Amino acid sequence: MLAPLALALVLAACSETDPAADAPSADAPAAEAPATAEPAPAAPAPPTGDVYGEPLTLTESTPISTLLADIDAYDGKKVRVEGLVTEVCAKRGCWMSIAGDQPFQELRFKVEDGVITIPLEAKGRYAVAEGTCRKVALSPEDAMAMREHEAEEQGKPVDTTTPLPTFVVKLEGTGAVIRDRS
Amino acid sequence: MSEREGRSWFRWNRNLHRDVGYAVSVLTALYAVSGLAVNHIDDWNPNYAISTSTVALGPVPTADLDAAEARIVAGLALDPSEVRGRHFASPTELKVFLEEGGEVVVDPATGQGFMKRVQKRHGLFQANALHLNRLKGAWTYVADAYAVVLFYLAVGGLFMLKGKTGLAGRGKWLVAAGTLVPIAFLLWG
Repeated sequence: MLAPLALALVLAACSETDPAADAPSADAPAAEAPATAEPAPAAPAPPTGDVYGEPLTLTESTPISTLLADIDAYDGKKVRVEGLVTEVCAKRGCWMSIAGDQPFQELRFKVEDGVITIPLEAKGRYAVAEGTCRKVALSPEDAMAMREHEAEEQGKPVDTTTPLPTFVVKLEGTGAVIRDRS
Repeated sequence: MSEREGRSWFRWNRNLHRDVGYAVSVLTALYAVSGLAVNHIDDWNPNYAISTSTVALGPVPTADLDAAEARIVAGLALDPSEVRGRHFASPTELKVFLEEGGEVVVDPATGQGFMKRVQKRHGLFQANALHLNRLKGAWTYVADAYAVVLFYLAVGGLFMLKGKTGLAGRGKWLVAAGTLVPIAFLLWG
């Protein structure tokens, strides 16, 4: 005689603890939102422009100044950044520099040769770019070689006045969207 | 295979090789020219012709970027619509970006600097885009098909002639010589 009562109690307990029980079914009318509720914020529109490499997956950009201020925290992490394109690898299109949100800041967006080719015409346009942040230590020899290589690429004399960097921060790029600044 | 069948097969292969060769002749020539161009990328820019000239504008105001840009545009008689953007790379380096990847870089304190003009190497730029598959997408499949065709031209070419000028004759020595060159570079290069 007690068996039906016990079964009912178990079913009742299950219905109280099952979170799915609280979710409205597809057939049930949706509960009305309170009149004071804010509308859900719309998802940010994906950036438009010419697409290079893989589509962007992150929806929010990290300011370059934030990234550079705490490089160790971002080392190895996937980030999205954006800014004016200030330099492009003239021969192979294998990197571009993106201006930061603070004066005199730039971040190098490096891609694998041949996988993505950034056109020289990207210079002066606006890029939204995604990749993995890397802090790479440099020996004095490597730093000098890098400086000489950049000077040669850009057709400038080698800068011998400023101290050589001990590390470089770059974004191992997977994709970018580039558009006119307007 | 009888002798008659063998002759027929060689003739069929020659005809196919000839017609396929006609079909891919232009693309092969483009790839060859592009190959030469990008082989020497350390010595020149195979895609763009970049000319650099010095500029001397006198001091450029830095308090207002619009005024700085206007000063550079007026000083160099540039078309304002040509300007893409501007950027302070360092306190001594103000850049104004122009169409097609050109730029003006000056030290605002002195107005001394340089202007770079960029022009695509038309013809070569497009050949490199095809050869290096910068187009991606559907061109990847066309390039794959072309690679298969090239493979056929290479292998089918071995069996176009019979006799002492064919593969069994002097052909085998030429094939061996041509094979040894890359092997030698891989071993001792």
